[in-house]
Amino acid sequence: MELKHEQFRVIGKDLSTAQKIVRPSLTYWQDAWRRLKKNPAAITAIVILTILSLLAIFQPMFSKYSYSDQNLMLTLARPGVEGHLFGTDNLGRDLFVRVWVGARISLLIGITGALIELVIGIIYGGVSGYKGGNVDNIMMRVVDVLYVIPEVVMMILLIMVMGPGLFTVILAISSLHWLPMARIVRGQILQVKEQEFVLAARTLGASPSRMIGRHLIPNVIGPIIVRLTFSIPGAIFFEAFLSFIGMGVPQPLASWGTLAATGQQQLIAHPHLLLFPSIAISLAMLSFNMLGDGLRDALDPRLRK
Amino acid sequence: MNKNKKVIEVKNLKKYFNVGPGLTLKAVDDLNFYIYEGETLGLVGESGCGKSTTGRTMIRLYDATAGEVLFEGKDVHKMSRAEHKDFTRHAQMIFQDPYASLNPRMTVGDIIGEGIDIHRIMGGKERMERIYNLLETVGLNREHASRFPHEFSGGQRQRIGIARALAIEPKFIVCDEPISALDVSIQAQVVNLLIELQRDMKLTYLFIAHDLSMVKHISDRVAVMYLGTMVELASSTELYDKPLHPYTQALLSAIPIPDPNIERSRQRVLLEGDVPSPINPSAGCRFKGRCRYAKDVCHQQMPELREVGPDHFVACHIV
Ligand SMILES: Nc1ncnc2c1ncn2[C@@H]1O[C@H](COP(=O)(O)OP(=O)(O)OP(=O)(O)O)[C@@H](O)[C@H]1O
Ligand SMILES: [Mg+2]
Repeated sequence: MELKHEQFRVIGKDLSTAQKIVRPSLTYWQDAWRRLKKNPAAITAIVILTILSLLAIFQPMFSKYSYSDQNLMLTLARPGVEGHLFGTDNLGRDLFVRVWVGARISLLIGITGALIELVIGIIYGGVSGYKGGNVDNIMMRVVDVLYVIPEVVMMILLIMVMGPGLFTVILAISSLHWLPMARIVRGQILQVKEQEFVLAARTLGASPSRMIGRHLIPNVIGPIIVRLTFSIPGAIFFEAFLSFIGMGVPQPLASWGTLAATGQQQLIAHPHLLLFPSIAISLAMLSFNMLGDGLRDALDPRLRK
Repeated sequence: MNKNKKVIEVKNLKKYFNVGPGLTLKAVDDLNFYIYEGETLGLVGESGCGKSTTGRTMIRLYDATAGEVLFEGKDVHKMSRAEHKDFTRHAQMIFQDPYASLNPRMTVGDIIGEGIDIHRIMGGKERMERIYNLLETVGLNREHASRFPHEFSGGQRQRIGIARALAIEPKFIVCDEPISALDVSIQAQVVNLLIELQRDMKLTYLFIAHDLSMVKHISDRVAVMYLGTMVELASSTELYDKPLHPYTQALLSAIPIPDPNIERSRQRVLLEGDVPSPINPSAGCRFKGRCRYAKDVCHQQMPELREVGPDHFVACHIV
């Protein structure tokens, strides 16, 4: 068959519709929030954590009992007796208020521990990854060496040297906890800094501060946040563990860990003393972990749907 | 093209990577060439032969191991901090992978405007107007400025990358395989856009590709690389009509000819074996192991790039 030039006609194309994008514009954070909202476990976790935090902040303010007031006439009361919702302990202190004061301490330890870990981890890992080469080699070998130290031994040692106290406990917990964070940050930075958009910024003459602030940090923040939501329950757990072996925050301060540790001594006769702090610890740990899982899915662009 | 002015000149450029104790990867080994103002020099070769490394070393994304890159007479690798910042206004790059070359956390407007911000060229409304103009220049809409890269297709992203490079009105652009990640139908659009922009803005290009047919279309001269060395350099018509180096001949015969009669009857020059490793290469011509004409001298001595015809350079002992 013979095709002639005349048989063809340029029909052109409508560029205005060709380049249209239908999906609404979303920032990274809007998009992450949209995906997080679709995750029932993560939403449940957020609700539980909000309730726990609100109770921790406000309940001790409005309770008619103080966490240290003793009522020796009413020791070891069962839950519900005379307005003591969770009962009282062996000194007649209201357990309900003690659980929420304990929540303050435990959450404080969890959050400050995680923040310290974050700051040290980002600076150490960031420098290591950004500088690369020999600096990176030396810094990472130091991390490898520190990794060998058993965490528990290090914590106990620190507390024995510095004496018990809230600050010591936080310090002991963060002393080695920043190591995995530093490794994560370094790995992320190494991965991102070879990407072509970073090279493009260098080609445009971007300063180091612009490079770090606009290109590197925003692109590594996702995994860091995820790691953070896992390190808060980690710190709470280690605090409880330290309390159990008698190295937690000193009396009359209470944390979930110390409450559970004292309750455990009277487990057979008065199980409520262990029950309520344990439920609180478990709820918090579970929620943080569920939130972390949800965030990991929501912040990972590879799962973008 | 202005044959009186060389915008960029590469002299004995070497870039070695240290890939382990005693292992040197010679990604770029002793390159010499120049590009005239307004010219497009095509740079072709198989994957891994050092094309990207050449382009990146030329704009100082990598430090050169040895040799010079002269931009308007000044050595790019010896520039002071201030001189280098000024250089970044004049030399730009368009990257190979449209999915990795745009920061996923920045809006398209901020991506395109980054050069304007870094060099404090303009601000406020004027800057936005400039960004809108650039978007329209590369065939996108002004509404796209507030969107994020993941909302665009590969071809659109490559246009954004082009707009970013153009924003500071550079003189010289390294196009590192700007089309090889795109669909064939989009490739022609992007190449035509680059040609149009070059005409309007008097740009000088180093156009890297491994696809010879597209390179012929855009380039004035074409350089062929093999394992870090340049094997042939000639005007694009000359190179396609009269390839002299056995490697160039093999590359050209791999291009299918859109005529079944010729295609069926022609003799193909087949390349045997794989590209050897660029780590600690042995003496002599890099291509000797795959060359049908290899003689003794090819195993002992590295051939020099020499002029065999008007503006036609070949590095081969046989020719
Ligand atoms: N940063 C680096 N460190 C070590 N080796 C490298 C580095 N960058 C590139 N190389 C090596 O240098 C050689 C040339 O790489 P280059 O990226 O320049 O090839 P190319 O010609 O651009 O290939 P392609 O067509 O696949 O893009 C390859 O062997 C590669 O492995
Ligand atoms: Mg390449």
